[in-house]
Amino acid sequence: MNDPLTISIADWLITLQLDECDEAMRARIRKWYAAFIVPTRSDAMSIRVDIEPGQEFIPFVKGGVWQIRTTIQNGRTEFESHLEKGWFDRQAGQGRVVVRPTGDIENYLRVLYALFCVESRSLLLHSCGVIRDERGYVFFGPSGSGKTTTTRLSSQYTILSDDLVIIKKVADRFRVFGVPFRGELPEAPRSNAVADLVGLFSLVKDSRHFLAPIALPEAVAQLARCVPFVMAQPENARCVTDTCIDLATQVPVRAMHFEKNEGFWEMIR
Amino acid sequence: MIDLKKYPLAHPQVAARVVDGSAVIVLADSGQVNVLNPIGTRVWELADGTRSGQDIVNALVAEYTVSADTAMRDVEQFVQSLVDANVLTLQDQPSH
Repeated sequence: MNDPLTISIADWLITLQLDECDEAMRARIRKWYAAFIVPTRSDAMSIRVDIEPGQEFIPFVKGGVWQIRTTIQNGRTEFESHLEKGWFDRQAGQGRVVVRPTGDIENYLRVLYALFCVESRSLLLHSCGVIRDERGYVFFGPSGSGKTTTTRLSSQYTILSDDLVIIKKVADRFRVFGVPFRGELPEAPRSNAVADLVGLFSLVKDSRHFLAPIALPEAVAQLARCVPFVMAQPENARCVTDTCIDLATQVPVRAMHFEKNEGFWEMIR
Repeated sequence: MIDLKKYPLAHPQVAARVVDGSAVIVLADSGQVNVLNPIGTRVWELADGTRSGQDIVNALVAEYTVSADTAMRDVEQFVQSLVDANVLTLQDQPSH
């Protein structure tokens, strides 16, 4: 019997039951989520993680995109990807994920946390998150917009993530939380840190640095485009859109045109 | 072009909110998010399943400085584009 492992991401607690994992998988999970491990608590949600050899759940297609399929019905989420398959019952606070030996639990956890965010009018947002002087900044955009570049150019500050952050409303203020999920920069630190969110920047690669205003409807649309996993359900999409409206109303959203050097930080106050 | 006797209505896969006079339209099927201009937003608001295409044309003529012919052509084209994009569906009968 192995001790369970409890992680806390944006104050949502999940206990991972790793009895059916081999030592290599347990060690990998402990290493990846090290900064987010907390003492086990009885009120944490519980996920059983099983390793089972077998065929891919969704066959890989050479040159194809990475597939993640989710369905949600009556509070139960079904999840399937190439090397992982699982479910989660929100009311019971329990789930199970079966992982092929070369797979991992990361995408399953991403989907779960994206759903927790929808429920609580928060966002899991494709973005680079940075804390400077105890203030949180989020640089968002689609793949290729410069999140990894922005992360590399912000190494003097606390990096929350190069790919995903959680933006959560706490006591009427939006706060940005670090997550352990990895993007294109596996070596980037992933801090279990949090700060008040003071600026949102839509990334635009350019030949000089400047900030430009974005009208509220466009800001809402740009934010919503960067919310993964949950938009396929219209009721979730409505909820996310409402959260984006609330967020863009409270926190300034600007387009940040930038060239490839850290000079953009001089524009940000 | 659409039949103006039909009744446009939001597609069930669409999530939409009007923000500062512009509709933000999310297509859940594809994940696309688009913003309509103010007149497009007005058409979107009117396309609630209780009004025919002709009713929408009449409303625009009453609200904006536009001829009936121009409004008819624009509504036909715009509603058709939203139907093609699965943003709107067309019903034979009005919703209640």
